[in-house]
Amino acid sequence: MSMEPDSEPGSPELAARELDRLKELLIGPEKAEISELRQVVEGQEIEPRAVGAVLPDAILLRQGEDDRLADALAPTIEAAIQTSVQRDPSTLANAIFPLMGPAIRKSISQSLAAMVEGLNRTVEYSFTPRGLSWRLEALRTGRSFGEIVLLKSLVFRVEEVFLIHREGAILLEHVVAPTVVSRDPEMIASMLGVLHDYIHESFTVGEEQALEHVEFGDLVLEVVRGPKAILVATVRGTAPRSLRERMLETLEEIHAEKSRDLANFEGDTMPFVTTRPLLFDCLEEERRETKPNPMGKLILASACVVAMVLLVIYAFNVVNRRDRWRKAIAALESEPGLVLTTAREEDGGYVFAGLRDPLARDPLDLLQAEAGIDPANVSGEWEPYHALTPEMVLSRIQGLVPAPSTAEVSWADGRLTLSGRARHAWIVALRTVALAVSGELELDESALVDIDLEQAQAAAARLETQALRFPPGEGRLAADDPRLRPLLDAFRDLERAARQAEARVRVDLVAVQTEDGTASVPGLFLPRAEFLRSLLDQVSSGWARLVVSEESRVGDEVALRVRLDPAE
Amino acid sequence: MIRKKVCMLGAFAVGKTSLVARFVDRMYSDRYETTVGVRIRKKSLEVAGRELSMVLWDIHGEDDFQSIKSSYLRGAGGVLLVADGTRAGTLDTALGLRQFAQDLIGEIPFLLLLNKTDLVAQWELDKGSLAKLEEAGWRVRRTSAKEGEGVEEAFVELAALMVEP
Ligand SMILES: Nc1nc2c(ncn2[C@@H]2O[C@H](COP(=O)(O)OP(=O)(O)O)[C@@H](O)[C@H]2O)c(=O)[nH]1
Ligand SMILES: [Mg+2]
Repeated sequence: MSMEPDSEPGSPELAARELDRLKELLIGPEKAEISELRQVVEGQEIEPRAVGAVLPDAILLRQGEDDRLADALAPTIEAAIQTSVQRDPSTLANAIFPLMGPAIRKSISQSLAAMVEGLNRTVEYSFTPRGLSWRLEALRTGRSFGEIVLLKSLVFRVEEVFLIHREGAILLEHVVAPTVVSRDPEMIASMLGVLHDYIHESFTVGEEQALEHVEFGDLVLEVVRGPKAILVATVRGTAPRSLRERMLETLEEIHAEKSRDLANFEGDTMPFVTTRPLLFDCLEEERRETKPNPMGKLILASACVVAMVLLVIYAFNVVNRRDRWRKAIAALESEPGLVLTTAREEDGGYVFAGLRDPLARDPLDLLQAEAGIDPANVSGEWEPYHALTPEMVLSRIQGLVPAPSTAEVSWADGRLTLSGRARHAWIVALRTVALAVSGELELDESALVDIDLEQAQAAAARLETQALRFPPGEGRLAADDPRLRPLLDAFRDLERAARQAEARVRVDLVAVQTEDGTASVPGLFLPRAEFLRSLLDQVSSGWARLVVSEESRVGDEVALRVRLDPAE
Repeated sequence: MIRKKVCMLGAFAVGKTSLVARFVDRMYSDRYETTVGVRIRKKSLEVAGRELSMVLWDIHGEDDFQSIKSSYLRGAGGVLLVADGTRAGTLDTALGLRQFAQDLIGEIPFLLLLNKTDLVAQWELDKGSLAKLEEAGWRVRRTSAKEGEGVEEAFVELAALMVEP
């Protein structure tokens, strides 16, 4: 191997040249064959079947790598679509109809929403022709503008939905809103078909501008079209834009689901029964609310708050008032000596009237104490009367005949019970009053001691112990006989107490056998009794009856026997 | 439920409207009202155990059938061709309309009704041409909307043809 003079050993040029030489030596004979083969291949027509076999895989592979394939194919496909549309637009339209709608709607829904919003505002705030006409109507009818707006724009209802085959305008399915009376839907379907075609043919409008919206007074027909069927809704009121969208969706769904039944339709409507749920979904009914202005919202909100506060206060007052009212009535009704005949609320105050026992509690005091009602708010007359309730009777009796501290008057077991000790006069007064006050009354005096009667009895007992022994044979006693004085005192006490107790008193002068058994001289008893009687007469007030018993004529003693008969 | 659109075809005043009225309302009126545009009536009947609703499109009769809109015929399940027995010309119109319909919507069941049989004394139809039509497979029926003769039968026959061709 020789070295090239102008080349440094190990330089790139040198290496390349050496490699070529090496190739020449190694594969020299085959190289010619390879270039021959290449010529064959390049001149060859590619077999289409061979390409067809590998094309799907090739496309898949290529797509995985980059976008160049799509870029390359796009113009061709666009051209193909154009040709197809030019030849027959419906072919493509039919194919993509179920997909087209949602895509388009999505893109327009936002701008549409904004527009609707703006429209609402306009109607709300400015003098649009519509707003003006509503205002005029409000003036004319005397209704508020708000009411008119409510009537005109807030309510709509889809009354009927028709699914109609476009061939022959034959009704496929039909649903009606609950309370709506449907009139011959088949006929209406056909009429719509006629109307549709009429407009279509008369005005030579394109498919897209075809009949969409027909108004008959306040009834509106919304029509959406698909390749095979149309969907019609009869709407009362103002239908929202969303209804058409809903209808389009429904129609697309029906086309997607029933494409075969629609294409092969020959009058049998059975397969379309299953579309009813979809159609029912179109039976919308809505109260649309117009956007209130923000200030209005604020005012409304604060009005609501104020109203609520007022309501709470009011409710509180009502509850409170109710409560006071209940308490007042209860207090008045349960109070002895008060008979409530009138109770009502008047001009923010109260009127209570009825009968009032003079002894009963003052109703005004009662109302204030029991129900917290200001006497200034109360009016009404109370007629005086006497209550016959036990409590009132008792207190009335006690008022008239105050009991002494030693005695007590009480009410028990339906009886007026007197107990303790009392003067006879008081007892009599009490009986009288009690009878007078109550009309009829049972008195229990078993535990009551009549002090006067008691004293009379005591005096009587004292008197009876004072037997006088006359000296034998004597008919008189000395005027200064010391035994006479206590006797006369006892007699005087007896008479006085008995008179107080209204007890009748009879004092018998009798002869008593002396203890030593000395018999009296016959005939001395009478003079002795008369002597004693004359003494008693001298001190007597005349209350007691003095009786000389003729038959007792033994013994030298004269005794006094007292009989007290308490008053009835 | 089967729904079929049926088109009444024929020259003016042959009795299309009268036939429909006779069939649907069982009524007849001598008053002649020009049908303007199209009048749609409906009649339900049972055919071979199935409920059929016939939607009858009564197209206003015109000699110039060119003016009939294709949409009137589109989707039709059957046709009643009507001719007036007292006016020979109406048969020609009927034949022309038949051709027109076939070109537009293809073969569909149809009957040829020769109406006004009650006026048979005044008939001027050529028996020979009728025989030829029948030989060619046409169903030719005689009706009188006025007296009701053959009307119901004709509609029912068409109904049967539409449901079970
Ligand atoms: N005598 C008779 N008159 C008929 C008959 N059918 C229809 N007409 C009359 O013929 C005229 C036209 O009928 P009409 O049904 O309106 O014909 P259309 O134009 O085909 O609809 C009317 O005066 C009908 O009373 C029929 O069967 N007999
Ligand atoms: Mg007519």
